[in-house]
Amino acid sequence: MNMANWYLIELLQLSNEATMNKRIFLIASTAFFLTPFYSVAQEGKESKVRRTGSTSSINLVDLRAVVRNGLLTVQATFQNDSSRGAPINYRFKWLDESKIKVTDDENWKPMNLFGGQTVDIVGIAPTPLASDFIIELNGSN
Amino acid sequence: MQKLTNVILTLGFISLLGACASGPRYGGGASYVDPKSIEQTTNEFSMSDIGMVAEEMAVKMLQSPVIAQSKDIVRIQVTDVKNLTSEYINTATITNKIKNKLVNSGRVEFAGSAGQNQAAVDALRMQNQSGLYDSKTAAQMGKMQGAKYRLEGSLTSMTQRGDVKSISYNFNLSLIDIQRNVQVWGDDKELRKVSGR
Repeated sequence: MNMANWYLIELLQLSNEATMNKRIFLIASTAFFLTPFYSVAQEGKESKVRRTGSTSSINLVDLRAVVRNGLLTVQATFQNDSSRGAPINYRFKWLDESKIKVTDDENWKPMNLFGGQTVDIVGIAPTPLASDFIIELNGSN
Repeated sequence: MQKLTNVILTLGFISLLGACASGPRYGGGASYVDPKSIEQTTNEFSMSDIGMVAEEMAVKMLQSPVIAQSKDIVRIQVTDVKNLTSEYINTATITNKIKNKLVNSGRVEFAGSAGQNQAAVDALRMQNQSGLYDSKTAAQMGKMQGAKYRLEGSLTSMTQRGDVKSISYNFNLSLIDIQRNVQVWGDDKELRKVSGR
C-alpha cells in the first residue's frame, strides 16, 4: 500500500471515529506532502512559457498537450489577474526531442485580455517532427 | 618631412577604414526589424496579417478529416486566392505561404497549376525528344499525376467609419473534390483592425 492510499483510508476512517487533533494532523500533513507536487507541476508548466516585457498580471492557469492526427496540439489557458486590460502578443515555438526548432519562427499574434479575462490559446504544430514546444509571451504595455 | 606626412596620412586612412569596418553593419539610414513582429503602421492588410492567416489556415487544413485521416499523401491543385477587397494585396504571397506549410508537413503535395504545366511539358519534351539526354535517366512521359482536390480561397473586407475606422477582413479557404465537384472542407479566419480616422 502506498503512502497516498494509507492517507486516504486514514482520513475516511477519521470521519467516523477519530479525534479532532488527529484529523487536523493528517489533513495538515497531507497538504504538506502534496503542496510540493502541485508547485512542481505548476513550475513545470511555467517552464514552457518564455516571458518578455510586462506579463506579471498574466498567469498560466492550465496547460494541456496532446498528439492529434499526428500533430502536437497545445492548449494554454491564461488569466489576466489585473482589473485593467492587458495587450499581449504570443507565439509557439515547435521543437523536436533534442529541443531544436523544427520550424521557422511563427508570426507574433496580438491579443487583448480584458480585466480578469481568461483565454485559451491553441497551437497546432505544422509538422509531425514537433514533439515539444515553448510559448513565447510578450507584454506589449 | 614628406615621408612623415605620407606615413601619418596612411595611418589615418587605415584607422578610418578600421572604424568603418568595426562590425558587420554600417550606415545609419535604415535598420532591420524582426519580420515576424506585428506591423501596425496602418490598418491595411499587412505582411504580419498574411503570416498569421497563412499559419492558422494551414494548420486548420492539416487537421481536417480529408487530410488528417487520409492514409496517402493528399494531392491538391491550388488556384489563386481572389482578392475581393478594395486594397491591393499580393494574394500569391498568402497562397505560397500556405503551400509551403502544407507541403512541409509531409501530408500534402501539390500538382502543378495551369501556369506551371507548360514548363513541365517543355522539360519532359526536352528530356525525351531532343536526343540530348540518356534515356535511362530521362523522366518518362505519361507519368504525371492529377490532383484529387482543388484549393480555392478568397479575401474579403468590410469597412466601418465612426469615431474610429474599423476594417474587418475575412479569409476563406475551400477544398473541393475535383472528380465529384463537391466541397469537402472549408474554414475561415477573421481579422479586425481599428484605427483613428
